[in-house]
Amino acid sequence: MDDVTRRTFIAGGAGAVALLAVGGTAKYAFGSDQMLRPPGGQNEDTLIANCIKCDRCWTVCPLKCVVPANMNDGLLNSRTPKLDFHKGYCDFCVDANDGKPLCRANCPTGALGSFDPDTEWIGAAVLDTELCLAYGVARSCMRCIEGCPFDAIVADEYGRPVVDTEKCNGCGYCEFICPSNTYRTYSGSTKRAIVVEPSEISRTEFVEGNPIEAKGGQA
Amino acid sequence: MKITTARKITLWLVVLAVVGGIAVSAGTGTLSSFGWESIAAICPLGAIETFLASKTIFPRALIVLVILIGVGVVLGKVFCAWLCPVPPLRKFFTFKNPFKKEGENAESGNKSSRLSGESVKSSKLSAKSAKSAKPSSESKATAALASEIKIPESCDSAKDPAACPSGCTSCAEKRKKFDSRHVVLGGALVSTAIFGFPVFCIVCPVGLTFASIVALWRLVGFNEPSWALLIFPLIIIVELFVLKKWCFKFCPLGAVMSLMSIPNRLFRPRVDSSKCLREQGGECTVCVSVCEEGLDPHFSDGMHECTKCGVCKEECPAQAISIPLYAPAAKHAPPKDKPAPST
Ligand code: SF4
Ligand code: SF4
Ligand code: SF4
Ligand code: SF4
Ligand code: SF4
Repeated sequence: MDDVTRRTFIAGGAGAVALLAVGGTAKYAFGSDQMLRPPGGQNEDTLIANCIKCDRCWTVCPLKCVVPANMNDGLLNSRTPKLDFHKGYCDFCVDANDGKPLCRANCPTGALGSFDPDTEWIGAAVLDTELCLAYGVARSCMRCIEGCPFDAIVADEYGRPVVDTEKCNGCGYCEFICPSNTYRTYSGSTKRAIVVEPSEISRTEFVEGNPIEAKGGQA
Repeated sequence: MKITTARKITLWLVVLAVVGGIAVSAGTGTLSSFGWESIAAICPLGAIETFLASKTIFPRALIVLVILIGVGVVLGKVFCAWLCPVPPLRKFFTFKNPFKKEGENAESGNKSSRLSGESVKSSKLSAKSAKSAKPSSESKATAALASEIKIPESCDSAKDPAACPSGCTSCAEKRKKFDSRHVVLGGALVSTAIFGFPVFCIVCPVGLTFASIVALWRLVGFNEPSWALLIFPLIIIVELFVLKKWCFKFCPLGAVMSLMSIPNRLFRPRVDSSKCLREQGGECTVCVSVCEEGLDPHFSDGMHECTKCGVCKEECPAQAISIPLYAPAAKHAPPKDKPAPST
């Protein structure tokens, strides 16, 4: 092996090994939990395998609910799309594009796959009765009950919201409009009383199966 | 318009289009994939990575990849000089060390290094003096020139600059079709296949340049601080300033582009031998020493690596170089073997 070849081999080999290390580190050391993804991104393996972090999906979302994940979501997830329902909610682009998700139309790699809002879901809304105003002294808030586009929140006998998980498809409207954190803060966190949690199983599986295992995430 | 000016304008337009697209939420994307709705370019390396990571081929990405291979055939490695933000970024943040003498700078002796403005000028001067030099002083002029131009470290003449033969072809010939960049590319693809996600995208300096802009945007516009603002620029710094010869030795994207450019024959620089100082018997090697890719436009060796940057054309003291749409294949043999054209 002459000098040039050896140096080439060493530099290239070092680069190649570094990339193997980056791959392993990102995958196993700085991964993170299931995340809330735009419609069609629910299969986490497909999303991670195909997303090239091109910024096309989140910049096109007309309702601004898609944001790029950042380093706090882990090295592997950083710059991939996630949903932030404090910034907006998802109407599956009914207004902007006849119900064909623009985020998916814009994705060049198939990281965001097909999505049918009638049988699939982004996640499921989870109500925290500690934070919900309707469960507090005032008992006045009806905003999510009235606002849910899928009639997935019903009032109980006291007029307090209860999520009907079978109907909810995780659009985030309730979380977006929930006023709980405007009026009081809970140990400084910005968490609202109703939060959409990612789910490891599909909506159909949930409806047909066992509701107890339904909710992924930390609830 | 000068090619280098056109390149600067092109790059600024691209950056403006990307940042503007983010600002008005046009969904146009960054260089990783830029376009309008479903018609969008996609990074060829990114596309290949997604095929390997997901073990499926997404048709739209495949179509774009095929089109890009066609672009490579027509335009060669044009991305590297016209669209990639990395070389300008490196140039912008590279400060010359005033305490180091010319030729002792960190990047000297490196085929990929550019001459600084002054040294280009002085080699032009020497080239001119070499032309006008009388035979008696020719060897002196040769020595003066040889000490001012940067001779690649792999060149045997580097040990004895005065011995550098006119028409230094050794460097051009040593640019092999496959080098360390291709080994890095192999590592990126293997890692991607093993771990199931596009590994190189995480550290790609092109992607991270725009990711840093986005991170800044999110901080200013949405008060969303992130470690990204520190980590992304840090990765870029390591790649460009600690490794230094990133483009030349490591960039797997450059490796993909070079593979796509192997069939390229168009827009290659052509030397008019009736004007070229070297072919007229002088000692000029300005074109070789300014080329970022370590090429000699006199020869076809390694020419698929040409990024169509136009620097050789602009720096040639005799205006002997042009970049026509098509030039007949350049020769392989050194010019001194050729009969000198009569003057
Ligand atoms: S479907 Fe439309 S509204 Fe919903 S996340 Fe995608 S782009 Fe945004
Ligand atoms: S458009 Fe697709 S590839 Fe691009 S960032 Fe979004 S999910 Fe990733
Ligand atoms: S409960 Fe909330 S997330 Fe679920 S469908 Fe209704 S508004 Fe959307
Ligand atoms: S080699 Fe890589 S980093 Fe350098 S100009 Fe080409 S694509 Fe950009
Ligand atoms: S041969 Fe000329 S145009 Fe091509 S990369 Fe080198 S300097 Fe640029």
